[in-house]
Amino acid sequence: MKAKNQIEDYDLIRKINGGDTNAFRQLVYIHKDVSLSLACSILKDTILAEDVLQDVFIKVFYKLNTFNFKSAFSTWLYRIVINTAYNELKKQKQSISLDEENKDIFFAPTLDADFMKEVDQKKYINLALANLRRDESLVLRLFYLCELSIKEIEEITSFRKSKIKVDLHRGRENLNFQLKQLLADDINYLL
Amino acid sequence: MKEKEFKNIIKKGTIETSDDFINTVMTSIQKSQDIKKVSFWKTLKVALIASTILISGLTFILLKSNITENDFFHFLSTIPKMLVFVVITLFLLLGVNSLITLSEQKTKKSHF
Repeated sequence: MKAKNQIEDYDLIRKINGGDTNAFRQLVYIHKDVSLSLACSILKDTILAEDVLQDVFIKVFYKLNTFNFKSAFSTWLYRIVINTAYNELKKQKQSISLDEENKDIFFAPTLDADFMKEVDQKKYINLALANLRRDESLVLRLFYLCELSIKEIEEITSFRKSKIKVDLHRGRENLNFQLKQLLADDINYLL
Repeated sequence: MKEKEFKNIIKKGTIETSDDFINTVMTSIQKSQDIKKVSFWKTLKVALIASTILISGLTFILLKSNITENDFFHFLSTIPKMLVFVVITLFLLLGVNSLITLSEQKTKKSHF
């Protein structure tokens, strides 16, 4: 599956380098949501993350001719997304604590019949992920969402192997804790 | 929770971009290319004006002014005029040619 996606990406990149703009549109379509999730792990602000992602894709458009086809395009793209998001974070110098940040969005779940609609599930999962440390949330998403190996995560993030393993372990524990806090027994609806 | 359940949960939490995200990206690229195109033509214009002034100046010195033997520019009058004209024309043609090629390559890369 991964290899198939990689071949598809390579074909699109060749088309883009040949002047096909629709191919770039397609490439953005394929990678936009996962990239936004990664940027959100770092920035913890969807609107800001989307702005950063726009800059990333513009950068990618102009740098695509330097892509060497030796690694997966997704790996190359995620590296740019993560670096740009961390740079933006530095710029922002976010001093707002997580508690303050999430003050407005923390609420007790109303367990009515519609509670576990897909939209709600997404909301609670992202709320739980937003309560994790940035690195934990990022590593969890790279590992489970992007299905990358620890070695690939090491290459993309420049984190040490031991740190990645610790972040994965703590991230899993903390996510479990956060979801239990938010949903209590209704966590089973997510599984 | 099991590994598979974690994977399932995190995949469910994928954040989606706004509906017009792709269009905004494409419009931004289009705009940035327009700016680049404008700056390219601006540069070409400046380069052409500068070359015209330079060549006019040189032509004036070579053909119109009365250069005496003691003059600072006397050495210029010793250079064959036809040779100078041919060399300058060749350089100009080469310059214009490379600029046109560069412009064509850029347009080829961005077919919007």
